Amino acid sequence: MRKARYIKEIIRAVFIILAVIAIIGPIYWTVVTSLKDRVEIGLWPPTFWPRNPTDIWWRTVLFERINLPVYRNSFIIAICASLLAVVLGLPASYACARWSFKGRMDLLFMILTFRFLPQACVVLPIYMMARILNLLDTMPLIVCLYAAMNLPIFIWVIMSYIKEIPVELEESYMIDGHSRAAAFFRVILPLIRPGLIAITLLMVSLSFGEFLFAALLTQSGAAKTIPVVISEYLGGELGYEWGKVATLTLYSFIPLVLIFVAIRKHLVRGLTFGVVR
Amino acid sequence: MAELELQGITKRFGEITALDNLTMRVPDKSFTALLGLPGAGKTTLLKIVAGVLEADEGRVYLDGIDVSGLPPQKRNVAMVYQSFALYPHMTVYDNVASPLKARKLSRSDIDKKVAEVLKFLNIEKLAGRYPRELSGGEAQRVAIARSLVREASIYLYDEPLTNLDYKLRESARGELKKMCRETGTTILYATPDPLDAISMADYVGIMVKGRIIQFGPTREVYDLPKNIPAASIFGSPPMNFIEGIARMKGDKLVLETPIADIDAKRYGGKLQVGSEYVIALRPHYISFKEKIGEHATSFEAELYLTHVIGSETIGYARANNIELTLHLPYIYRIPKPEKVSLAFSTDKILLYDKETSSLIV
Repeated sequence: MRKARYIKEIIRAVFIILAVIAIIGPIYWTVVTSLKDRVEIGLWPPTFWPRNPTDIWWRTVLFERINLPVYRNSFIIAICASLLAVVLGLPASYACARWSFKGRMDLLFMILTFRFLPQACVVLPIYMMARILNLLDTMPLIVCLYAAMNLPIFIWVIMSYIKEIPVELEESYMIDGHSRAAAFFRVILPLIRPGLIAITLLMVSLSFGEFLFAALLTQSGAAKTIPVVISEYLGGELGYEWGKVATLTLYSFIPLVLIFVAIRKHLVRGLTFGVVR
Repeated sequence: MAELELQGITKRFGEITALDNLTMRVPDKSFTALLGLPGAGKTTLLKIVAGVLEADEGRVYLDGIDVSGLPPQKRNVAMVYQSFALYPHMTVYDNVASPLKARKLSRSDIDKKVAEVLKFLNIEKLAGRYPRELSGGEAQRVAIARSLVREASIYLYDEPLTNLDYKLRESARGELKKMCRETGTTILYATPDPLDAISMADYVGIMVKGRIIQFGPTREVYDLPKNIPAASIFGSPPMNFIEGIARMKGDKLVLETPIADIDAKRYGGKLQVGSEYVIALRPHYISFKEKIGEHATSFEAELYLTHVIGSETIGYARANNIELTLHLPYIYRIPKPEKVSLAFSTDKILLYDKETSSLIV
């Protein structure tokens, strides 16, 4: 009996260790790689700790080629696309959550299925349309595309958050004398804030990491993003520049982590407790 | 303060008709109870008066003005929801101040009025708290405070006592009644509990399946419910019903029932011999044979259960397979079922025609 429990504990510990390795492992490896010098990176068997740690990648990679403007592009595009999705998505989510109208479920499922469409299927028509409109290699194009890509998730998630809020709260607010718009901004928005922040951050991360559209629809520093630059370091003239790849990845990863850590309080859902007695 | 009038209100939700051609007039400055079982349509009706729902047919008049098309913001009604609907991200102060902020009053005016109403309800010390930190009774008072802080034409209460525990409910009833008297407001109060209506309301409207089946001063409706549904809803404990047939026994007109023959002299020619009738008898009109005087109909029964509440007793008896409930104004306990002689005064019964369900006076 005790032996069975002991074995269960061991198995549990093993699974937890495996999970931790699976999650932390790639991050750890990327960090370690960014601190190794070129020679050590190529070693086999690989070293798990840099013998001669170097800061050369960290110091130089952003200032090579056009990497700094591209880094800035990634931020601008991610933030603008997410904001656009929020502005367009909030009214849509509210309408779908609060009113039932003809074709509502059809519309919602249609939006969802569009998201499932493989990007490779649509990238060519989009390329052609963008060329005709002279929007190729421009930031507005990418911003609009990313916003469109993120809207389905945004609408579905925010709609379900709004549905969780009892409609009596808005009704009561309107009976108090406020307009419906006021009810939306001062009752609904504050109460969905945790979910809203979480989803927006998710959209920012997705925009940062998107590769296919960025690679095929951008060319120069006008609209290029970090993932494209990273791809150019893989299998280019100088072979595989793992050090630069690792460092650029971390340059993207760390700001997002910092933002998550800074706002983690707001992600707590304590706000909707105690609403209905 | 105003008079509320509803004319021909009908509201459908898909296949279901929640309100069916409902007409009612709530007198000015009265405490009117809307009494009905869950599902009768009380909340729907309140929401239509508030303007949160729009009726499919019919019109709503407040103080003579047709408000049917107006949104809630423009109607000057206040409503307290069954769930209280307090804004969880705002303090008690901000919750109560909300209607005043909508009217764009100055900061000092708002402060003054909020302080006044919080004091009136004894909750001043809760001003800085959040709804999740409040008990049920406190939350209810905040909801009421929010409704009272401004002067509305009519105050709508949707079962505000349902979410409170029993003891709290008792004291809350007393306070609500006192508050209504002191503020002189028109109140429409939806409840499934007859005790609420009996203890607080000036007028009562009994609501069944989306219609008002009887409306009038509380005492009148209680003493003379005009049909069987009204009689069965308005009573706590619920009314006893006994079926009987009108017969001539010798030269006396009686109502023949499974428990006894009831002298029906006072109904004279209004009864048709051979027709079926339903006798309604309130539980507190049945007692032990010794206690009832003249015009008594007595019968044998088995008293099988007693249930003491405070200083009163609810008794359950069976006579000839008919279940009866008694309400005794004193404590009476039985260790085991016992055979008793019960009686009731014949002029305390209410008689209904079985087919038409209407009261025979």
